[in-house]
Amino acid sequence: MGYLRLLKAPEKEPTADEACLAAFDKDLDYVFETLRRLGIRAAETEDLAHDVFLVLHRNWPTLDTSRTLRPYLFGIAFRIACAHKRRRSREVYCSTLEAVDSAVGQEQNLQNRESVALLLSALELVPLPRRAVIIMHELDEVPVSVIAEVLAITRFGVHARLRKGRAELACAVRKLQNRSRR
Amino acid sequence: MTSEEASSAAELKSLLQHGKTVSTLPRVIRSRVLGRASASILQGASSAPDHVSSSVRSTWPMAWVAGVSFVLAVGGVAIARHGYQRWAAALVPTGAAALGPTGAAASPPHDAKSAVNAPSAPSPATSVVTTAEPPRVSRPAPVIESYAAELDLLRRAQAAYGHRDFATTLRLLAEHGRRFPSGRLAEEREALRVRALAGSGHSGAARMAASSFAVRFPHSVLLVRTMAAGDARADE
Repeated sequence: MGYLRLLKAPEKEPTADEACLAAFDKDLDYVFETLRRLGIRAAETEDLAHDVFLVLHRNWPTLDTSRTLRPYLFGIAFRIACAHKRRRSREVYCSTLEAVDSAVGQEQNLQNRESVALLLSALELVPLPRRAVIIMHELDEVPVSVIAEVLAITRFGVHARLRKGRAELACAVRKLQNRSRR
Repeated sequence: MTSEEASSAAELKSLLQHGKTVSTLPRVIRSRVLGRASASILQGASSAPDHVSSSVRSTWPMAWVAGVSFVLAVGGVAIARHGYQRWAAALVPTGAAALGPTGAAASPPHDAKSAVNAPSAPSPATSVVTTAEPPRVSRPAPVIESYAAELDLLRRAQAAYGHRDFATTLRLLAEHGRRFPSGRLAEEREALRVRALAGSGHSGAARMAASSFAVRFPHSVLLVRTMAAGDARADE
């Protein structure tokens, strides 16, 4: 006697759009964090993250998806941040209430948050080209060769920016600490 | 390295260690961003921002590019102005009086004065003839005037659309497009064109106009309504 057996339908291959959206979703936290580190205000981060997605989506068919996507996303975010800062320098910023992220723990992470705030403030004082190299190498731990490729500069240029950027960052941290102690 | 520098380096290292953490986004923001991304995919209007350059290096020479563009623009304006003056000087003997805005509304006293003041003014008969058929001289209208003209044209088009006179609507919109291709009301014009095309039964053209509207104005508040108008009439 015959019997029916349940067969699993073959999994549907995700379309390019779905794959792009999934990749963006996976690294969305990183995109927001990167934009924040590059000095973008919280109120503007969402719009710029969307711009990052648009560039990613446009270039998705030509991307090598076997490689890690974060350095590439950083490159896009950096260019968008540069363009945004150029534009913003010509505009008058109207400050609004910035949403406070209440999901993060309040007291136990206080010191951590203070450190991050100090670091972000110090990074603000480092010029953007050097800040980008510092963020990629020191925070994202991206190798120098990849940084050179993503930012379209030479390895020597990366090392030079790194050296000068570190000195500027250390100087900025000292300055901010002295200011807060007064 | 002094002890102060060593402690500073250690402190910096510790700060950088803290800075490595990537905080998780609240779910609300995540879903909002992803929803927006999905919407842009569905609309097929994922035109990347134009201001994003393909190379990082180009962020620095932008000042050079801007400077060169500025010099070229200034030079172009100067050349154009010089050419215009020469051309206007060549026109003076035949039709200096006709150089009013758009040629049609030149007031008679002004015409007479110009004709009199012209260095080699032709006979009055010639002057009358040239005033009757002025050459089409397009001079950029003042900003307020052009905006008022834009508004007037679009109001008339809107009124014609309200009376379901789609042919007149499209004619007025075409005139607006010809006179103010990048006017301040171009967005409204294109949205109305989609609705007028859809209303007149040109569903294919309406759909095409809607898609080009989406490409040109991806962040428009009229986008959803315009796309719906293009699709709804097309489906009928």
